[in-house]
Amino acid sequence: MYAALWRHLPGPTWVRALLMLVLVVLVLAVCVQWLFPWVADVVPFNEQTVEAPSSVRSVG
Amino acid sequence: MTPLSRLVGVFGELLLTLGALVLAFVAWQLWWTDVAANASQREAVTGLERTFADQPADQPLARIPTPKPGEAFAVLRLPRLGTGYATPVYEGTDKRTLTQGVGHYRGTALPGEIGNFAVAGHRMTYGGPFRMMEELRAGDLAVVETVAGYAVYRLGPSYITSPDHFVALEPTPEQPGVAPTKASITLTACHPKYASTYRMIVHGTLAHTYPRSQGLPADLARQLGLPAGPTASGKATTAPTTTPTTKAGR
Repeated sequence: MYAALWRHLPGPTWVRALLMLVLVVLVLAVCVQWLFPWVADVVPFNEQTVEAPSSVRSVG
Repeated sequence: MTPLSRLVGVFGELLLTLGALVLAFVAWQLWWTDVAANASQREAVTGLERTFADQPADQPLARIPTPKPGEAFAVLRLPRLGTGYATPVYEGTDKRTLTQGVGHYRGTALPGEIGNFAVAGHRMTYGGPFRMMEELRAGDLAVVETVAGYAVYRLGPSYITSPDHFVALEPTPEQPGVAPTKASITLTACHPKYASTYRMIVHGTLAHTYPRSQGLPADLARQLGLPAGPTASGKATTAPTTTPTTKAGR
């Protein structure tokens, strides 16, 4: 997979390495901006509130 | 290379990538959210202080307008957790709101109002406003500043309970169906840190209120790292209220 990507990148080795680095940074940026906050919303690891079971919820 | 070995190779690379992304997520959650939130929460407190200073100072404390969901409307100070400790209070306790600061349970009382002013906050990640919550002792003060002034609560002992212990949020804390006669405060957070198995809760009752025009008494202001109120310092002007925030940052 990564070998194929490497072969398809243009230019000499240092240009390819630079492009790879840019791609990695891009992927991480997308993760931090959108993916990670979404995951943090969905996983039940970080709850701070007390809540009623939804059937008897009064406040919350 | 056979098609099968190529497939296995790609699968392996995908797994490695997934592993790296999971590590990146952990680093983001445990480190970066703190870095980002510390800066933005300080900024929010500064912004609130500026807004408060610009408002006319003749509102009764418990009569501030009901905040809109997601709106920052108060500053919570817990002098036990540090002289400059100040965290913004937002309306609502959904996960997105709690990434910004402390969240006020919708429908519970407002600061200084008869009933239960209940808030939730993180103990880790997103700046962890309640990180040191276990340091709070019975008798400690919690000072909530709104546009109308300061509500000073005296806290009771903290306790650990289950996440469905919602009676902590009742208008009279822990006593469902009992009409409130006092103004209470309730702080909730996760327990233990790095897990959400239990909740740590502290209740308190209103000890004093200070309208903005009066300001804080000198000794309390010193505890909070704020300038004393205009009457306490003997000056009749409200000018000092324009600069408290730079000192309030952690």
